[in-house]
Amino acid sequence: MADLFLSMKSVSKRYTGVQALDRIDFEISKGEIHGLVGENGSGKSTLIKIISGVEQPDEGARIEIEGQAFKHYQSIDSILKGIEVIYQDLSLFPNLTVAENISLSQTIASRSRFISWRRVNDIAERAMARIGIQIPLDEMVNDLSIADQQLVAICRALTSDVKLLILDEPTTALTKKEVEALFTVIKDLQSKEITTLFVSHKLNEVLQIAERVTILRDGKKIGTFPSRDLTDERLTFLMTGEKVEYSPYEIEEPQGVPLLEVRRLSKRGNFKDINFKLFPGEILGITGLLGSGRTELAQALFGMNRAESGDILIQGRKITIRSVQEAMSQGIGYVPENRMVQGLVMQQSVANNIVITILHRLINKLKMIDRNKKKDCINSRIEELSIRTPATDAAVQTLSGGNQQRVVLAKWIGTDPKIFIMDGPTIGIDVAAKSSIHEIIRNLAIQGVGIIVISDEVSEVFHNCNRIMVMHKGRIIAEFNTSRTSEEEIQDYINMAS
Amino acid sequence: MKNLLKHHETYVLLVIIIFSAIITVINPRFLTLENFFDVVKSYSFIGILAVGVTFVLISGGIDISFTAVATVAQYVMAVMIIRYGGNIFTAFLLAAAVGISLGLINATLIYFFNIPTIITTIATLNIYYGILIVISGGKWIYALPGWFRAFADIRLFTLCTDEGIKYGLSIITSIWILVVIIAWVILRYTKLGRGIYAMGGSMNAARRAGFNIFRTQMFVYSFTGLMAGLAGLVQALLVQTVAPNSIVGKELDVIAAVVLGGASLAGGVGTLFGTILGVTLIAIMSNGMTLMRVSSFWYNVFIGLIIILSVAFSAYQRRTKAKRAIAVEVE
Amino acid sequence: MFNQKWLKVTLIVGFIFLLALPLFGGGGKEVKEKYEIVTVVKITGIPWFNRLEEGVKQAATDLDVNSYQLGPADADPAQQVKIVEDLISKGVDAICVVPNDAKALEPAFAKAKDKGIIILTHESPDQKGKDYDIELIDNVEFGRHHWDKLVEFMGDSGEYAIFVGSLTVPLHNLWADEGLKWAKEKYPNLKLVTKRIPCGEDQELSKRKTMELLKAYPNLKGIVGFGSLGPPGAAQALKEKGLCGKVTIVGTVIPGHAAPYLKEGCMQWGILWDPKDAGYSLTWVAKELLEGRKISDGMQVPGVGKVDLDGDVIKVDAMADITPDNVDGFGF
Repeated sequence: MADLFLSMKSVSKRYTGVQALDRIDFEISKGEIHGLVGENGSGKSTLIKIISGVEQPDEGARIEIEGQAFKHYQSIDSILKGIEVIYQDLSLFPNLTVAENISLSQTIASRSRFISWRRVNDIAERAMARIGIQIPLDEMVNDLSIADQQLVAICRALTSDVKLLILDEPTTALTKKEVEALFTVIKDLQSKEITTLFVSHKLNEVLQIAERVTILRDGKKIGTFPSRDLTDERLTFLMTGEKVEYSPYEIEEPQGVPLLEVRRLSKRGNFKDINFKLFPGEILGITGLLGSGRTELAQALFGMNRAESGDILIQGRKITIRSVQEAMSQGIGYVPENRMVQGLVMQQSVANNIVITILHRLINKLKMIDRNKKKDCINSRIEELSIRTPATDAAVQTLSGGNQQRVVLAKWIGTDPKIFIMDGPTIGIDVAAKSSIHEIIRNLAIQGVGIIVISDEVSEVFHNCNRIMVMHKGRIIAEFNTSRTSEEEIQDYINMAS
Repeated sequence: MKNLLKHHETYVLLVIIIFSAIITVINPRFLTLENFFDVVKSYSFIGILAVGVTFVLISGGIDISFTAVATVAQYVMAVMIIRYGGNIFTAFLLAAAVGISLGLINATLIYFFNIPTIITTIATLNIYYGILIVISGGKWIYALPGWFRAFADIRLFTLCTDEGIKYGLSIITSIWILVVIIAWVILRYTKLGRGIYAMGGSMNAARRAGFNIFRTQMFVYSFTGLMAGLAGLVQALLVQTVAPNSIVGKELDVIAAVVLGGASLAGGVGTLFGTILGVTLIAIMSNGMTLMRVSSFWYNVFIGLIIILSVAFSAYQRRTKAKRAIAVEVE
Repeated sequence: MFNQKWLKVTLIVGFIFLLALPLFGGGGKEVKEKYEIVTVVKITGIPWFNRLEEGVKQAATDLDVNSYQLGPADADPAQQVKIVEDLISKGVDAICVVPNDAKALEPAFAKAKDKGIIILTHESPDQKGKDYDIELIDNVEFGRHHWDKLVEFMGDSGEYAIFVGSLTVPLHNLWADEGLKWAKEKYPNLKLVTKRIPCGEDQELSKRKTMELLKAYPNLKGIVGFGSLGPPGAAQALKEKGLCGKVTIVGTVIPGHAAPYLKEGCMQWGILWDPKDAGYSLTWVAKELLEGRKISDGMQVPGVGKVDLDGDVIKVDAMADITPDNVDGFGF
């Protein structure tokens, strides 16, 4: 057994009414890459907070770092021991330059009241050199891609003498390629004897990068396993305590008039020569890398990004879609990629978000909103989609990711769409919640709705769609019938193209 | 070059250059040193206020009360120097002290009650101004001491036009220049200054990174108060009359100039160079209109158009950039 | 606990007492034998109306009436209407108004008439619903007088400009209109360089505009300024440019403010009426009417001047010239 960097024994944390952590023993060896997985509410974030000293454990816990035992472990201890946390929101300053962001901790720590810009650039350059990356020093962080922002955050952690780097959900907003690049960096850090704790709910990624994985469920530790002994399925089982069965979505060969048909749809710099049909009851998957034109295509169908040429036919009738209103009147629903920005009014209540698309149906004779009708409608949706919310008037931002997404779905289901386009329907959602969203999608399809699911997770489209199209550089480069292909084949196709 | 195009300031500067060229063609007297010094002097009051506003906007807040602070500082200063005498330094100290104190009141209210800054400062604008009117009865003050008048007439150097009209760098202008330099050093080269940017960029991240939010906020609002106090003094020097109703009401003009210079109402963004350009643009618009002999009836129309033009430039640039970002490489 | 209880009791008793106060206050009616004459001005806290208030106060002692002045904190028509309405429900004897917005006041004036309250206005000769309007100047004459004075100093030919408070201040623009007509007739060689400039109520702006005018129109020989901050601003600009006396400045000013500029020769002539006279006259006329007397041509407003009756507009010629020699004698 290698030397331990961190050893925690019998760590518990009780908040009013909730046992967030229950006698956890947790160890990280020096220089290892350790994965930490668990669903929302499993105690992952509480554990991170205790490791970083932001929260103190309840009586009886023993914490040792590099063999040194602490009585009252505080954030200052964690900083002095070289523990750095990179939170999901990265805590960067979008309005400052790369150099300034990276060197910020050093600037604050320095005794001088003045800033030396040469020193700022030096620190930043050295940090970037350590992981062999180059981002222009005077670029605003705001103008960087999320992946580069992540690297900036890592560089900032490197400026202090970091020994344990904790990455909290680092890959949520990254593309496949960017994830690979991040992994290279993490491996590189390992060669420099920096330990990494990789916290994520993307199981395949955890298995790929981590040497050992610790699993938490409901505040208890299920165990720590070498990742070579684990598979996706087994990990899911350990995390959720349930076996998630993947049954492929299969339907009979559709016939007759397609719900939606697209012919030679093109827009310069967006997509080119797109042809496909969508029949009732189908779930059509569109996959491809970020920047392949998939989102642009979806937005074109929903009137947000008008195509320049080509035809869109709905039930055999040629139509033009110039605006969102027109798309909606044609029975098209759209769940955007970024529900925070485009899908929900985060500060508004669950109730108001659900009825926002169908207000005109709730109007009574006096042109006022019929409160009873509204209430009925809201309650039936909440029940139907089992949205877990403390109250119907709770703000949407207080819900978990999975429940937020259910609210988005509820909002559109209310409009009785014939065609439903979902861009990244399970981004940032737990495994368990994910499968329940997939369940909802299938039920809709069985009722005869035509559904398009856009996702960069091949496994997601593979397990839930009857047909899959691969997009690359604005074109559809391949089409598969799910029953006659495999996940690997699709993945290979994407890799080959790029 | 590409880097320059990223900055909002470049576009404002471009508008200024184009506009100046047009004015000069119509009236060559626009591009004379004399006119330059006159304009810079007249706008030192607005300019100093704008420096203060830049700080608050960068910090992610807003201050509406600065005109009332300037008025109160000016009035207290005038009453005191008339009643107890003194010299220009006492005048400065008085105006600065009143400005800083009122700014600190703003900061305290904002920090401890956690009320949105716009509401807080609209309230304090009314309170400060209201109390001044109640106590002073709105009386104007013209009888300022002789040394106060004399100080306003000092020029650091004097030049002479062909017609024998004297002009030069006024002491009032140099107050503005000094203020700008100090403010620039603070924003660019001190930890405090960078803390203001950080706070405006992301309050949470700044807190996590270990910036002292309380101290930074206190500084920002008292600095804005100080600027308002100095501006009040400078305005009194400029017109030699202290009228309580002459400054309040100009809040939006100043904020507009600063925003025109690229500062964002959302916080975190803005530079002193931009602010100076914003004030300059407003100044030459007004100055140029008269010099081009445009009828005053058209003033407002033109001012509106030019504000839109300069904002549109950089907005367009941002939009094309956003477009490029989502574009897909289609083969 | 005990303390709190007592506090409550005290508060309740105090409150009841306050409610009952009007009952005990029956004696107050005796004081009310004096007429209650209230003057409502456009805005409080500016020198002009502070001076007007002095007239109102003087009338209170001289005429033995209960007269006082009210006004909104800024020149807001709605607030002014509110004050007038409050006075009507209070049941005062006469209300004298310097209107912010003539139209907005009409309904309130009608209400006052119903209750038999006398309504006088000032600076609003065309006001509907008034009993009388009192003007201390003849507006036509006032406008012309500025041009006469301008010409006296700059000669009857050359370039000049006009400042007004804003393009929507009725009186300033009326004077400018009258003056321009007069100039066309009598001084055809005067040349107005640009349309009237709205800066006369901001000294800093007037100063800036004057500097700009000097550069845009190098041959500028005079400025007529309406709005009491225009001429001082212009004079300051001249002083700074060393052009005092080379460009003539005439206009409406407050004597105390203009004194240094007049004496230095940076401004030539001020023209004004004394707002104190207006305050006094309003109260005086109100009392005359309350006592049942008629206002007639040739009556003498004590200390102000002779009445010239024109329908329901009472003109008392009290136009005053302000010169370097008499500027210190005004007392405001």
